[in-house]
Amino acid sequence: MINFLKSEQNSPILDDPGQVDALYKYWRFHIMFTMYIGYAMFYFTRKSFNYAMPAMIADLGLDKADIGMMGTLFYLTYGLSKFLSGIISDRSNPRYFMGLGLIMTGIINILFGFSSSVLMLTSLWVLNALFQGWGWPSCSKLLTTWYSRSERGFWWALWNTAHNIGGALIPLLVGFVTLHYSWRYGFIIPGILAVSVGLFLCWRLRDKPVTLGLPTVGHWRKDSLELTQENEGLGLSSSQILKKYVLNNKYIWLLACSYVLVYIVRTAVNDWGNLYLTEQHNYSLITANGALSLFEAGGFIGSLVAGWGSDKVFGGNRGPMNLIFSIGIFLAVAALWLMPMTGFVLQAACFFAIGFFVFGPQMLIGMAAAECSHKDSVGAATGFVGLFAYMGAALAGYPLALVMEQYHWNGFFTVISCAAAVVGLLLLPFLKAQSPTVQEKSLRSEMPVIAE
Amino acid sequence: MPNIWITSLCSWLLVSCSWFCLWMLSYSFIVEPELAILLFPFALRLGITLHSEKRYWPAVYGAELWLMVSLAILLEQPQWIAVIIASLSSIPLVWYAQKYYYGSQLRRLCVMGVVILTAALVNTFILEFWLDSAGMVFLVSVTGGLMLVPSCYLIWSYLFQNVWMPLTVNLVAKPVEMRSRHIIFYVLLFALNIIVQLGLPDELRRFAPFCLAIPIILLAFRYGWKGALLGTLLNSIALIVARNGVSHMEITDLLLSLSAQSLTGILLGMGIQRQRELNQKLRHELARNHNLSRELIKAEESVRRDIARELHDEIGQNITAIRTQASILKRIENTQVGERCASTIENLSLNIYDTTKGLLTRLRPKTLDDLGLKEAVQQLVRELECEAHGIKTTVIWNEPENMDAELSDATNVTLYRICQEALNNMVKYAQATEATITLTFQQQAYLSVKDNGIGFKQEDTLGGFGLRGMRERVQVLGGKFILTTQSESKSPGTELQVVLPRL
Repeated sequence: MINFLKSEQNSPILDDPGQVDALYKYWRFHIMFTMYIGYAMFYFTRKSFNYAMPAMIADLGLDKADIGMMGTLFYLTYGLSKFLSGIISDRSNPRYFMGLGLIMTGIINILFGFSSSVLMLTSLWVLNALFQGWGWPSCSKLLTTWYSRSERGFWWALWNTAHNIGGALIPLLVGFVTLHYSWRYGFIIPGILAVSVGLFLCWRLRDKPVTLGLPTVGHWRKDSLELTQENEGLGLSSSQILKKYVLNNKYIWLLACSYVLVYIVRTAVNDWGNLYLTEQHNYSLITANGALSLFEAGGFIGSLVAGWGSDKVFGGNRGPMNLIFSIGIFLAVAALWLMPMTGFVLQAACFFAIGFFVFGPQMLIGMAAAECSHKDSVGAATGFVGLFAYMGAALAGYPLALVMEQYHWNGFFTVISCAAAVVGLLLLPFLKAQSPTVQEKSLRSEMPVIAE
Repeated sequence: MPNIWITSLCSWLLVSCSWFCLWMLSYSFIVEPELAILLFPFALRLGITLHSEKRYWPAVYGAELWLMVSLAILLEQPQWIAVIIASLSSIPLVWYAQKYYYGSQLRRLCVMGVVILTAALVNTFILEFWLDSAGMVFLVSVTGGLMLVPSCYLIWSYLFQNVWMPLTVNLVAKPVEMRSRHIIFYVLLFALNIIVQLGLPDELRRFAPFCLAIPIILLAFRYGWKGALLGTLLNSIALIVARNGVSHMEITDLLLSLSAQSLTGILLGMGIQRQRELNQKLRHELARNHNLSRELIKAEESVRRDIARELHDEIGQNITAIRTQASILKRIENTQVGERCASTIENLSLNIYDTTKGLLTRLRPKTLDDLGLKEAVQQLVRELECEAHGIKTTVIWNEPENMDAELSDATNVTLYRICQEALNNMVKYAQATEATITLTFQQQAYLSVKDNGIGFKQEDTLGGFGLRGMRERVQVLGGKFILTTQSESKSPGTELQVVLPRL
């Protein structure tokens, strides 16, 4: 591998506590800001296709089957790439890994804008998926090395909203550009943006704190849990770590399975939502997309609430919040299914609620995977569950379409409500995992109570 | 404190989203938007406020009011003022109910029941002025309450009453605790239920409701009222899926069956749980009783041993001294009277010695302390002169090589006494020619005394104190005492079997 991609050597430790504090504070803020912009930009180059698609169909005469195939291939490659680059990224410098990945996706998007043949488009899009996978593991590595256990829920949630910001801005941008110029600019402009932001990432991101001569974040924040995780399994080789903490970790497998289901719901609502609204409730495409954009808005708020709640109310355990949110997913999906009337505000509110509840587990499961594995296999663990997530996303594509052909929208909703219910079931072992001491507090609990 | 603001904001968002979804669900069943608010959303609010601190109430009520006002505007139904009044009127009710909401599950459930009923009555009273169907309002409120308020309790007690620790990488070492077989079984049952509710032909309509009882009973039996509640929730889904119309009567039917089965489930579960708790208590008391009696026996034995030692050491020595003195006196005394007195003293002290010795053996088998159980039993056989009575006696001793622990004193003494009592009876009454004593030690101690004598009638022996006392003692120690006798058959004889736990 190219040398600069490798993780940097540790610098000599600084011993002036004032300087350490100042550096930590400075970089924690700046890394978060840079990651946020970077990841939102990954969304720009990822989702550009979805929103330029109608214009491309008109212009190039593409088939629906071609597009479905491109989508499925994209999801599968993306999931695989997430896992593989997760393994690699544990040993590499996220600064260049993420930056380079973004630059590459930008370049591919620009090339995509100049291509016209189906074969070219498909292969470019698969290549794009490969580089898209370089973003998430780097971010999860940065999030686990710069922010400690007791505060991570909030920081991770904050970062997670980049999904929603990116996902909400790109339809506006691509829609505007496509409407006024052509769909080709809908790829070229996000591509150019991505290349420049990628350069920005290479300039502003940093590797782990120890490479800057800082103590680890567990030492700096005196977070005992973080320290336990840092000290776990020292002296194992990286393949042993991967085997023990990721591949043979049953809890990671459970998380992966529930992630499949969460992504089925997420992708199904996201990808089929506007079709449902237009077919079933006779919406125009624009109003349908408007209702769908509230899905992202709900996700933005939901992930913040879930992250904050799991930190403060449940002491950093992601299990209870996950359960509450998965009950919520079930209710929200059922509500959308059974809604007896048509009304923009009502349907939009339903999409908001689904987004609110889906993005809780969407974030918490990824975070739990990072926390249940070794410090040096964070990228691999999150990549592993990510791989499963995108298998779920792929399932929500063609296979779900088959279900719909057979059983119509009732089949569609039955599948996603069952998926939502099973998410809760699969996460139950996490509640038992800590075997808590049940304490009926004699006074009313000082913790806030928000039943579902 | 800024924390409470953020928590309130988060709760507000969470409650708003759930409230809205639940409203949408109830609306799709009831079709009347105003009544729909009374079904699930009000019950959710009731459940949450009952289980939360008062400082979070503004968030909960805020979410409800906000949503009610916006829905009223959206659906252009301004008469919703009645529902808003009903919502506000629940504040003093829950405020008052929270004072009594503590303690055991049973108590909490009773308070919940009262709150649900009162809230339903208040709703009916307030909405009577605006809506005609007072009965419907009451029914809707009760149904929603029965389904959601206990569920809120479940979530509260499982999720909010635990002290949560963050999960860490240590998890790798922990096995996954998942009763997948149970879960699959119940899921299958649930699916079957839905199929039955949906698919039964009209001729079998009477059968369908009974199917709902099966999961409730199963879950109630296993997990008490919480399980039953889960069962009723699943059943509700099945019922709702299977509902077949939106006419007034059909909705009433659905609501009635929902509340009836919820009530049945919770009451049944509560009954089972109560029985089980009582049973548990009884078992606990019994075990305690056993322990106490065992301790009593141990104490008795130790007191006996102490007294026996004391008697033996003190009286034995003193009597020897008295006898020595008496014999000296006899030798140096030359008067007739004096000599006779000395002989009397010597005889009397010999008497005392014999009596004490007999007493000592009854108090505490001294041979047991000196020789151990095995030798003591053999000594017993010799002492009773079995051979002289024409009884051929065998002692079989089965002890594994690696006996991990010594037998306790109570067990030893009991085994010895039983042997003694049984052999005594045999020598006196049985007219036997052969006898076998078998002692086996495994997880428990087994003793069997067997002879080929003439046997006896059951009521004869147990009338006396000897064996009956032994039987009681064995039972107290947690063992078994079986006495079988055959007097008329071809191979007559008596067998006494005793099993004692090794304490």
